[in-house]
Amino acid sequence: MNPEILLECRQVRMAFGGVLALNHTDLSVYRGEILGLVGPNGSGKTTLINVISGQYRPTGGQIRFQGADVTGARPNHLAHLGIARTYQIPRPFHSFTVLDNVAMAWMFGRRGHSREEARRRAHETLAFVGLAEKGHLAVDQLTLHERKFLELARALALEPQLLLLDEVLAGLNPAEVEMGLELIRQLHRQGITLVFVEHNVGAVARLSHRLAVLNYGETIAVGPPEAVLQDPAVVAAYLGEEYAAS
Amino acid sequence: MIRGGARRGLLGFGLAGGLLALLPGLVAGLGLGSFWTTLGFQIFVWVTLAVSWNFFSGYSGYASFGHGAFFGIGMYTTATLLVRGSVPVALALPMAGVVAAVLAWLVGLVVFRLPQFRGELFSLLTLAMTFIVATVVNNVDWLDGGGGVFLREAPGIAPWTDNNLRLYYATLAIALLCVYLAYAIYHTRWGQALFAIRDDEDVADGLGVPTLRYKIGTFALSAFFAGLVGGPQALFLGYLETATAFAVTIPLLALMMAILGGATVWYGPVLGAVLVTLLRQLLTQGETAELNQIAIGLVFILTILFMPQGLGGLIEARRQRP
Repeated sequence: MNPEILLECRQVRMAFGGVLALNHTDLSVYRGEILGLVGPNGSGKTTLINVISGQYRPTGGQIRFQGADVTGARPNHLAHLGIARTYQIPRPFHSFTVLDNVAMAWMFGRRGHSREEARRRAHETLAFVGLAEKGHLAVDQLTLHERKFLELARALALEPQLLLLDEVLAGLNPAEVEMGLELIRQLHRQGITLVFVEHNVGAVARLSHRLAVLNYGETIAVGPPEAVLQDPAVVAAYLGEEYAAS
Repeated sequence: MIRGGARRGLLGFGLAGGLLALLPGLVAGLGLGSFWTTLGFQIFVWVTLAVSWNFFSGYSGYASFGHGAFFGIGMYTTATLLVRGSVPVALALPMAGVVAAVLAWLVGLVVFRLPQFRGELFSLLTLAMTFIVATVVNNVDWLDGGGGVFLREAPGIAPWTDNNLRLYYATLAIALLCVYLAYAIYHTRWGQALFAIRDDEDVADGLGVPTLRYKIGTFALSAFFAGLVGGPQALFLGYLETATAFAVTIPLLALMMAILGGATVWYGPVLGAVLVTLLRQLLTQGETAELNQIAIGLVFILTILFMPQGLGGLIEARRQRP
């Protein structure tokens, strides 16, 4: 049986003025998998996330979600279809409490709950990411790692089919990284498809079913982590041509 | 949209409205005359302007100077319908709100799609819109054409302007409705969406908030009230000219009242509007018009320096402290 393609990027281009951040990028994400998206700094990982989640409208190419063309759709429409994302640097609503940050997604997500129901569900979501006691706090009172988990809780409150994680582990200490990895495994078991962007290749390789490597806005390798990490093109992109040749 | 928390406030608004409705009778009983009903009328006009400015601009963070245009359009719509169209007053008044809302909706439809027009550029654009509208009105003969518009001769307006009592009740009703709406928005999902837009619009959109619809809809509703209250204002003035109807001081005062009273709280602009209107009234008695401007400017500067969240913010902070 062929696995179902949940998300497909076909020849996606994203230009900012004269700078080409994505250059004919192809990427398929299968339902139920964990796909690690790696690449050197500036390779276009975050841009690709921004394009998939509707933040940027691509200058070329096509994006299909569950077989339908969603190129250029607005973020709120994509959220309702089941695409959620987190930000590398957490972007909580500063005038909201921690609880209300999460309640926003329950209120405006796929099922549109009332404010009271949204808050009730937000409690559960916060408990899931380990922030049960922090709901009443202002977001400024959270530590960096708590903000990262708040970011995750808000995305989960959208009840996504596809979750795009932009460097959720960056900046966390080893214990917190383990906590994060465990959460991600649990999400996978719940049936959420994950695209996992990380600068740190080691963490991604441990968790991902497949790796995709971006370099200068192009997909240079896709496949099982062990194979991809030994691909000469990937080694060259990360460590330089000379190292690859030696 | 209005449920739960918003419904609980209805009783309070009913009581406040009832009391204010009885006030003119009380004032007449004490033999105090029409000065007080006129002052009440002016307060209700400014409460409506400040509160309607705030439930869009204060809640969403899109500071608009368009309120001058919408208020002016309201005045001119009512005036034109009465003078040129001989339309009944009861129809000419609500049309003022409708025309203002349609313009805001059209402007919003274009402007809110473009991420370039966030922040200061939105403010400048709405200011430019005000100048354009004023220029058009000033140059189209059947609207104004430069000579001003006299309403006194218009059919059917005498009962409204004889003692200003009808204007008092009309603006009381408009102000109550407007404040209730600000209250309801504040306590429902609608308000949450606007606050999220103010904090981080892109994130709000990504969490499923149809930001475009909220911005356009709330902007149009805000303009509706500014236009609506322009109708009674036109009847009150009896004579319109573009220089005063579209004066830049109008949106500035509305903004100032909202900030002084507290733009992040639903009742803040009510406090601001009442205080500033009373202050202006107090200071324009006698020959201190310039002093008036300076005093109000000073109050505003001190507010921003010492209580940036306004009076309402101060009250909320007190309430949350046990």
